Amino acid sequence: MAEEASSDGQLRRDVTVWGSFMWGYADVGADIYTALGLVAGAAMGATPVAFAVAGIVYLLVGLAYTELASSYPVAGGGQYFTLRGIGDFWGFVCGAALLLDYTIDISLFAVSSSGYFNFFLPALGVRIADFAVAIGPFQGVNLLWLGETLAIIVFLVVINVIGIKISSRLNEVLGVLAIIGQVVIVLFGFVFAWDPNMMLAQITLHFPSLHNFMYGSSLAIISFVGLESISQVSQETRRPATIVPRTSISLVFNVLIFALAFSVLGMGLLPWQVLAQHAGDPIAVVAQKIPIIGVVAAPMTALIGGLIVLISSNSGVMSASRLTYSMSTFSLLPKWFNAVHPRYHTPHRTILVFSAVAMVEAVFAFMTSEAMNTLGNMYAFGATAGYMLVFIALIVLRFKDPYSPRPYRMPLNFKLQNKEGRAPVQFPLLAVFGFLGVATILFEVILTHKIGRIAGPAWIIVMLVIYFIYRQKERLPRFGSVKRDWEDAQRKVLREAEEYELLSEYEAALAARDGEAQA
Amino acid sequence: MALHVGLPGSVIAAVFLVLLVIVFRWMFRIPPLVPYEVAQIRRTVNDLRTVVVPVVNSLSSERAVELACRLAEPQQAQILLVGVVEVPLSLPLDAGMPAQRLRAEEAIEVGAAICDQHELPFDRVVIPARSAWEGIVRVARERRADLIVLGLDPKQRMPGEELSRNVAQVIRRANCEVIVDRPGHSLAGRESAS
Repeated sequence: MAEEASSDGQLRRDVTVWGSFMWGYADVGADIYTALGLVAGAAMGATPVAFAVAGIVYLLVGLAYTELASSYPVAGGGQYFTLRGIGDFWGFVCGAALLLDYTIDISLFAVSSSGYFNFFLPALGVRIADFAVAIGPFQGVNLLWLGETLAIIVFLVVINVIGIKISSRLNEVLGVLAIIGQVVIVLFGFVFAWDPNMMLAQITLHFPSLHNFMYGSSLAIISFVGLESISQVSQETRRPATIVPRTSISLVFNVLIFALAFSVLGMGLLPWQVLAQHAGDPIAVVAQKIPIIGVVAAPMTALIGGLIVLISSNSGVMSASRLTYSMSTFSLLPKWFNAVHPRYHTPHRTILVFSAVAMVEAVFAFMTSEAMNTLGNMYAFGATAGYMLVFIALIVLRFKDPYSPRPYRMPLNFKLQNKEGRAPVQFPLLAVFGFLGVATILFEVILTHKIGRIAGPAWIIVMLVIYFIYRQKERLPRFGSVKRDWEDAQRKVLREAEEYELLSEYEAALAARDGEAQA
Repeated sequence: MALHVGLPGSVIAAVFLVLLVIVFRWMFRIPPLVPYEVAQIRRTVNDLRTVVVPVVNSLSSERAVELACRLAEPQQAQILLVGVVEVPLSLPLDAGMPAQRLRAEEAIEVGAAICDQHELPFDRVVIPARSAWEGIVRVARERRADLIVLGLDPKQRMPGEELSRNVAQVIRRANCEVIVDRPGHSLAGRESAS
């Protein structure tokens, strides 16, 4: 979108309001295309309730990201906030969890994208289920779907290494089409086809067990993952402190509204079993059920869905390399990852390494016969682990850095005294609730996700081994932090972002602090 | 295929649409960019913490309190209402001067009522001094005021002078910002009538 560097080597601030929104939408907006079938398979008749529960937690996560991304408009997202708030070690852990999510993002959405394209196979006389085979102990490995998925990832690797930009215009146009398509489906579906009695019957007669509901609601969180993207791109957004809160909050509410609308609509149109069976293309199946427009809307939705989740998969490739770059810059990962290809000028090593990880994850997921479910398991682990640390960082930063202007604050604050010589703190009560909410979801993940609870922590441990070896080699503290001048960095960020009012507010706050210290 | 319009579904669809429109409208309403110089200037005004307003029993002085309150309101700055009791050289500085003190306190009461209207924090100071400007400058210095707002009484001007002596001296001697308000014709007319 805005990857050109200005003359001083900084990324040029080209991302507008709509561009910033679309960066997030390409990631989060696509999630419902993937999540609806998965959640229906677990939460059954209570699918809308599962989405609502996850939605409340997501709302709090969204507000936390809004505050942090507008206060610290730099690339790095959750990893940067955690590093700044609670130090290098936890910054790395958060980065590793989010990196897991980006690799899953690549594989899960590649699976989902091919799932939507497979919607057209019956018209060609091909049945996707016919390609499921047994390989040794692994039953129902769908070779065609796996092949499509790997081909998509290879395609994304090539375009990212060569440096072909999926133009921002294409991204924005597709986003607009997806939003219009979704709005049309929701409106027509509710007005002409939705049956409230059917939904109530499903909720009352097919309410899941507690275990299944916990599994479903923890899977539902994946339909809200991706807010990171707005933070990742805030360094390239014009006037980020002004624009990012608006685009983030809009995105949060948009995605929440769509997720709730589709889950309620789906339950009033189709039995949950049908949605669960069509985990690859649930929204297209919902569209197909709408009278009159269904004939056109279903293939259109499948096409738009396939493309939007493809863009989402691509955003996983880009975000993984951006995050790795940020982690290398702060000496959390070896500089080896930052090497730029001599011919294409792209971070080829990062792209190749983490896309290869995504391919391994995809192969592994297909071996389990429920590929999307398996990937969803791990996705939920990475997201919740990362978000928990982000909430802690938000609370700690209110104490450690009360001087940075916060154009947006999470609501429900109460004043507390700070350490001597520091400004009083507005303690964010809602962040505590957010932390508890995410912790509950993580608890559900560990309790109910057989694969996520092993693969997730295993990933973090492997990454920590790399971290410790690297820090040892560079003679950097393993659990401590490297000293950095955050105040100077903050001034620079605000100046470059043209947020002069905030810069002057920040400088005045620092001057007042220094004046008091001298007095 | 027969189309059947469902009422509950239509209501949900309408709510859904309205919510989307509200969210998008809000997102696109971006406040205008503030240039660096403008931000700096705004900051200098936002930094006002203590505003001194000398008061006497006159409309121009009361208007000065009102103006000071409006300047102080956004950042909830404190208003310091100062009544100076001018003690002639023929008397010691601690001479009681009860009549003048009473007048000063009455003027301060009016100023306090204006501050109350704005729900602003304020303080009262009655100070003896050889001349009004001396008292005003001293209070401003001692209380580290950021601004002095003076109401210019047209009657107190000497013939041929643009400003009264007190105002001129405050401008010259004060080490903080000074704003002088000279009332327009309508207020000046009302003042002479009262």
